[in-house]
Amino acid sequence: MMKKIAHATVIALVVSVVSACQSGPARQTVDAMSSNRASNATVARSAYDFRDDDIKVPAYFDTQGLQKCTFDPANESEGCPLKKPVVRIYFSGTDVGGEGQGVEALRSYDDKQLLFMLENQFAGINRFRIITRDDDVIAAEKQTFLEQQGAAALAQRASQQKVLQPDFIVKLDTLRTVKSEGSITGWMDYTLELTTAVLNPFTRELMSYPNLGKIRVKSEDVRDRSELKYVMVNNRYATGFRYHDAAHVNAVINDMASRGIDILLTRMLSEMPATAQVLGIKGNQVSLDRGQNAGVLPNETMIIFQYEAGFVEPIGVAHVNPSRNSATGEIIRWKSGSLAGDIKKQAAKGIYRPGQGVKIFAVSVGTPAGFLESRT
Amino acid sequence: MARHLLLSALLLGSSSAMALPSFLVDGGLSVDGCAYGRGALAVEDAKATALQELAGVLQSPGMFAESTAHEELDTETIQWLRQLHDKAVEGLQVQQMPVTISGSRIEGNDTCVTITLARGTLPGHLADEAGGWESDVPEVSVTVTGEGWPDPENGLTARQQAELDALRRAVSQVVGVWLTHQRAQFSSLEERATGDHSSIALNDVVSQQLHTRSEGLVKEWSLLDSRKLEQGGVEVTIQAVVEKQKLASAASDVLTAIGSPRVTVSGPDAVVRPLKAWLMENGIEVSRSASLRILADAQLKASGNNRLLDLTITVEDLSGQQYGLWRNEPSLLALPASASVQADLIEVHLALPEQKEALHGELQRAFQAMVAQGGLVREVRVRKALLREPDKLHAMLTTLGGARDVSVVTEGNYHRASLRYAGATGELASALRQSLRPIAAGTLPQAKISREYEIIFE
Repeated sequence: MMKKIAHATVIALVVSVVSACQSGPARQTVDAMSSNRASNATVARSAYDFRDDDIKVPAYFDTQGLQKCTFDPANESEGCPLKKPVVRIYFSGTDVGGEGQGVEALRSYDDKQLLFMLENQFAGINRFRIITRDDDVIAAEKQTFLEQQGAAALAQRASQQKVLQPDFIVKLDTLRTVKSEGSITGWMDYTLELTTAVLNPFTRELMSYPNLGKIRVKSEDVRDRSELKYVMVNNRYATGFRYHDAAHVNAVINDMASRGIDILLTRMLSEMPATAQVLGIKGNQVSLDRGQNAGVLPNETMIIFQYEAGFVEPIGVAHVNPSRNSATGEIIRWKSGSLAGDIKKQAAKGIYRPGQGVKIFAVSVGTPAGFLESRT
Repeated sequence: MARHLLLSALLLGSSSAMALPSFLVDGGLSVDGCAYGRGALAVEDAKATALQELAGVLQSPGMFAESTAHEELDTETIQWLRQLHDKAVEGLQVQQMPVTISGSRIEGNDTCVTITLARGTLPGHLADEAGGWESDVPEVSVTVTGEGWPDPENGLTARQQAELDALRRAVSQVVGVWLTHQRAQFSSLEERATGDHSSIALNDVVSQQLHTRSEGLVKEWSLLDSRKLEQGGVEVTIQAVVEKQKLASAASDVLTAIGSPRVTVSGPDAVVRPLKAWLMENGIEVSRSASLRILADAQLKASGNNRLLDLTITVEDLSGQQYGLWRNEPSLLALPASASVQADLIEVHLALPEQKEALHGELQRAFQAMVAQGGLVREVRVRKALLREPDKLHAMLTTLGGARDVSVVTEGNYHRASLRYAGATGELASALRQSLRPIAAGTLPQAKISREYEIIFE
């Protein structure tokens, strides 16, 4: 009997050893749910709210070739990473198909004013050079110029300054949908989806960068559901939200589009962060070599880091305000560690200037906190 | 039967009521010109009107009378006016005179300017040396034949037409002689015209340009013979005395004016008006009949609520041969659609120095191209029945002196030939009559010239 048990034990051991040697499938991915929830704006935290762990270099910083930048918009070097592409903006694919309750009013939405709004907002963040498509205002101004300054002056002016040639076009595709819920008392539920493409109209190449993804805005983001309620009597509209009236529908869509554009801006600022070189640090004060000209915005939260031989070493987080061609900031929190500690010590004694072969840069972490409140 | 033609340059309406000039205190000559409207365009129009007025006044016998009637005028002034008058009759171009133009002023709906010719101003001496062509003899006498048919449109009888034709031929003949002797003097011009036949073509161009002033160049003429032609035509043979000095100066004048050819302008009013004013301003003579014409076409291109201007200007001869094409750059400017948008756009486009230069350059190129290609294209139509050996027509025309680029087709009852000829259409008609004789079925009828470039043997 003992012999049998010993035999069984040996077999069990062999089996367990063999099974332990076999490796299972690598688990590198996880299942995730695709979401149809409304998008939200993501903005940078204030530098004051940063903890030590948060001080890391964000994605898309680009420090190669900064020395090549001339910051002359008309004559910027191709090698400058901050060279702003000249773009024209288009809305496309704005048609709404199908028939049904409220579809007609949704279809008649005019996106021209929205386009101009988008142009204005994009111009302000200084990541692109925008060629406006507001032909009417331009033509009206030229007419006034002609009346006040004369044909010769207008001809000279018009020939001296040519319309910029776009490098790319920025295309916004929108998808508008509506559904109604309820029966006697119902409510409308609008959804606006925005995708952005940067494309070269001549090669037809869609650029992979900046990748702004898809933005989904729902009517409940901008209106309380009660505001979109209506009452039907005998299957006909009686009272409440005038879903069949284009003006009323436009008001809702405009708000949604405006919110969509805000989100778009914040994504753009994260995808295309502002980068500047640190000229010196004195105490907590940092001096940067570029400001508005490189797209640095007021109240920018920037990570200060040392860049050497392809490696980055965060030093701290700063709250930065730009002037026209430079910027100054205050390091709110120094990263713990020997490098940051050394620099902090040196900066406390006087002006710290990065030595030979060492470069210190500042990169923005995204839309400045407060930007949405003050600029949108 | 000698007739003095000095004052016959006042032909056809130039003696009509002209605004007589007002004489300034210092003896200068000033003329007012007005044009309807406001702005730069109206000012240019007014300038053009004033220059035309001045030209008319200088040629008019009225001016002469006026000047002599002014007792307070000193002899010097009267002498100057007399010289001016003589020069004007010789074909002086007012555009070449150094006039002062006053600032514009508003008079009712019109904008007016005053142009002043300071006392003693005379046009510069042009090619005063006659070079090697027997300069000791001041005049050349030539015998020429001219043909003419009644021209009710311009109120001319067949006789008058024939005389004019003869005078033109006389001038053309002398120009030919002059050019042969003067070849070296305008070598710069020859360099500009390319091709073997440039010199012949130049002769053609110069004589054509001189045609309208032939009356001033012929000092006197006498009728030698006259006979009636079919269809009410008249043929005259005259002996004309051409003043070499005047002709030489006028011909040089034309040569220097190669950059400013005489043209007709046609197209929509909104383009033609500013274009004419602009041509005038730039010394390009605009006339109702000219061998070159400028066709302007203005199209408005819509871009949303705004309009762009697409302006095409073609230079072609009467047969439709194109010598030059100029297009504006529509992208320069867009203005909001309105009733005056076309006029506004044209004004701005023509105000642009680069576009102006390009247009001027194109006109010059067109003119030179015409010279280089061997003259203007003429059409010859010969009724089939008139030719015994039609197959030889092409060969015949090709051997014709001064003819180039001959092509012959048969259409309906006619043989139709197209060719470039370095000479006047009338000369070509006579030459054709001579050279077609060997292949003609019988006596060839008189050729009819229609629209200045078409020769028809009915």
